[in-house]
Amino acid sequence: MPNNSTKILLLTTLTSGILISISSNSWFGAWMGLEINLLSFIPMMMEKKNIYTTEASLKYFIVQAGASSMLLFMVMMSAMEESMLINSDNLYTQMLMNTPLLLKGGVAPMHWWFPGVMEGLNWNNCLILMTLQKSAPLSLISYQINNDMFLEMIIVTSVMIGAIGGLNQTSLRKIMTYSSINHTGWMMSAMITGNDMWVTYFTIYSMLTLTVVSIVKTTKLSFVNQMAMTEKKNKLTKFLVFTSILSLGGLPPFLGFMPKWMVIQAMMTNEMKTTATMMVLMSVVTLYYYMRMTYSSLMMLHLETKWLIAQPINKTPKHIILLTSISITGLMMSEMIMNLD
Amino acid sequence: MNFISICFVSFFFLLFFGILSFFVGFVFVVKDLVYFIEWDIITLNSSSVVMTLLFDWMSLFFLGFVFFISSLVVLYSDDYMHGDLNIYRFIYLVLLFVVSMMFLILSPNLISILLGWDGLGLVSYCLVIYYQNFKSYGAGMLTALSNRVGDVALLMSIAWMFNFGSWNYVYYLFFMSGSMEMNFISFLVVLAAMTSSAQIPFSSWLPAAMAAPTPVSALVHSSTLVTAGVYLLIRFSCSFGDSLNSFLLLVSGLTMFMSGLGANFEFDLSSVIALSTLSQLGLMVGIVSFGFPELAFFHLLTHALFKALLFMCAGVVIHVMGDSQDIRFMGGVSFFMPFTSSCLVVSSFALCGMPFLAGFYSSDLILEMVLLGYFNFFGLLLFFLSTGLTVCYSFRLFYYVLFGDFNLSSFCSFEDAGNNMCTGMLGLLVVVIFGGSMLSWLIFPTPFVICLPFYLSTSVLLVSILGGWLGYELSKVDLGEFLFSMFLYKSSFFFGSMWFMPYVFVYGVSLFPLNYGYVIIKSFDSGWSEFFGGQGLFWFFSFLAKGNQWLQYGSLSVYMFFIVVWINLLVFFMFM
Repeated sequence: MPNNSTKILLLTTLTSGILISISSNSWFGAWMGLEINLLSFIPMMMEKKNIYTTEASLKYFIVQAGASSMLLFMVMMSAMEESMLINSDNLYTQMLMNTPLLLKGGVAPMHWWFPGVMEGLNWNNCLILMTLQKSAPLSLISYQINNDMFLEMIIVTSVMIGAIGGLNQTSLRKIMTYSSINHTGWMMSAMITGNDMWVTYFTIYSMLTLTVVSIVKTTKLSFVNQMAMTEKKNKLTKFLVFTSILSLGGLPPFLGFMPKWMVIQAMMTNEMKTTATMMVLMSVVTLYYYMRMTYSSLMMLHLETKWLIAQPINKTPKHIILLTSISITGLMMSEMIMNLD
Repeated sequence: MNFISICFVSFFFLLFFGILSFFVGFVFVVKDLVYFIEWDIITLNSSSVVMTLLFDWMSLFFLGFVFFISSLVVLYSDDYMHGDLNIYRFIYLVLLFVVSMMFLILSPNLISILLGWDGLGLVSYCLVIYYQNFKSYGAGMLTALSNRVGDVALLMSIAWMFNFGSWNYVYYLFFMSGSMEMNFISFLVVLAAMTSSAQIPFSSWLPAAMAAPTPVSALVHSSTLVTAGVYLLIRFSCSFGDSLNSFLLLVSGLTMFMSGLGANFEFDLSSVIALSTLSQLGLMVGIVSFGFPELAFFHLLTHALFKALLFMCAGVVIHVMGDSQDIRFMGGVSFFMPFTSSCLVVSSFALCGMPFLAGFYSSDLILEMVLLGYFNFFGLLLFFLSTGLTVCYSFRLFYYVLFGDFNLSSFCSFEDAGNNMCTGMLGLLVVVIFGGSMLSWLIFPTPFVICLPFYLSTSVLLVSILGGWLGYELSKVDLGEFLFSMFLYKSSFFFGSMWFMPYVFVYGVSLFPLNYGYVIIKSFDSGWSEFFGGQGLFWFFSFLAKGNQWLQYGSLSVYMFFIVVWINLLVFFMFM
């Protein structure tokens, strides 16, 4: 159970692991960064000492360590074999190098550890797992990516799994997990079409996730039905949850639409119409479950009683309001900035 | 009497503007002036958006009549709607009605005509549903939808006027008459006018619109909604071709005859007067199609006067009857309400064309022009029978309402109710008596020359007297008397229900779309598209999500094993 200073230390090493990994010159350095990152996240997961965190950290450790060892194996093999140089035309080489990284990032066919791990964590760690922990493997993938059938299948699978898996979930963590899987699919396609577009996508996705997670953390929500019950008192929070979740889903007036827009446009120019259609259709399904999260609290169980009006309700933290206002107006603002020339 | 109530304020304003436009109209008709006022709203590249207003004696006189009658109607409704909670809404609606009519009258431009036309349609809907019950809703919907047909026709004629490069129709009517585009435009305008003036296929809304408060009926039937169509026809009349004219003549003659006959079978006081309006509208449209638009306009003005008065009298009678409109319950009203009854008689006589009242100058002139022109026997018969029928239902109304015994309950309070109502009626009574001669001297500085043999020139009188006698004799019933309308039940049912027009052109038209809509909603909206759309997709995705959940139940080691197998396969294939 780490105390505050330990947390600071671990966060520092976690970040430096990511930085080592994405800025290293060799595969070995990348592997080392990933290991540092993993080993500093595992103690952070043990926020409370109970079976949930234990199970989650154990699962995470096994999966990540396995993936790391596979990666090390591939790296050593590529050092031994002349034919296994990176960026060679061999399809299997690509697949072999990418598989452990995809497993680490929780991209769809290798995503099975992700919901289980998320379920045992608190919201802070969930946020780190959904955003920071993905950045290193995804950057490593982006260094050696090619537009081939394997990656397109990965994209389609993760988009579909992310959309369909979240449909009958009641746990907010699971829903966020599947949404993360779905967004990772979009990031992969951003990687295929343009080099640094996925960074934009990742940044905006992280910010939107941060918004949603901060709100549900403040209001201590874990399940969908709690959203309807606990938000009765606070209309502002209700509104903030609704807009930030729709923004995460990528509804046009909000910020979340902007990266999707960019990706769709880039895919259109790269003749990836079928994949793009698939992704857009699946994002409709994600919007369905996003909307279902807030629908009942906003539309059906909307209750305003007199004694609740009299109470000081405005206890919403300022950073949530700030983040939500960014996610509402971000699309328009970024468009304005881009059109300034 | 509260002088700053909304009714009084509106009354004074409307009266002022009415008298103003009258006097300006006098100047215009004497000096033969026409003024165009163009307001250049915006000019973009080469296209300019211009609001044009047309002031000539026709528009000014009509405007003056609209203002004058609406001022008296507003004054009248101060008593008639006394104590109504929504009197403000009512007066605002009436004022909006007048404004829409103003747009329509003053504009020589199809776009601004459409603006006024749509305003009339919308406000008339709001006024018809003023008393909020299901009957009113039905009637309002019928009115609105019938007038929407005219809207569509006007819109299409706007589209056709693109061919000329401008929507100011006054510039093109004469020069383009006979061209294909103008033929289309004039046909569409005639269609629009037929909906608004309730000519034959669209007649059923006019009696239904009686669901509105009676002051509104006085306004609608005299000078605003129904005459808008006639006014449009008068403005467009120089572009009509022969075939269109004869079509219009047939339709209007049939409308006139149908409604005159129907009024003789009707027992609702408002509906009798509504049908008489329809008959007079037929007369106006008929004389437009016969080639005398000025005559039609003249009759439009005089008719506006006496029909407004007639409706006001009927409104007072209905008011004191405790909102009962059935004329079989009335009777002996002239003993209790001498002023109202005399107004009723004067306006009805003016309607019948009693010499030297307002209606005489116009309708007698029209009938003699009809006799003078070449006309087939059928048309002549329609015109003269309808004249006779007008007198017939008027005398029938006298018999039922004014004379005989009082037939409502034995406990009733009857008087010439309402100071303002009587004032409004008095104001109209004067112009009903003097208005016809005055207008004819103003509009026709050189009178029409009528040269007819004696038997033809007295035929109008003969037909009228015959009609009056028949109307009185036929409706005179005693206890135990044999009822001819029961003997001829089917034909009287046919004639009394406007030749089944409400059934044929309302239910008949809407039957197929309604049935088809039912089929569509049954087999598509809640059928196949629900199966493959909403519910089906939901089921499908839930099914997939269940599958995904089932996969997630598996042990972690199994998945790790799969990964190892996958890696091994890849290595194997790589070295192969």
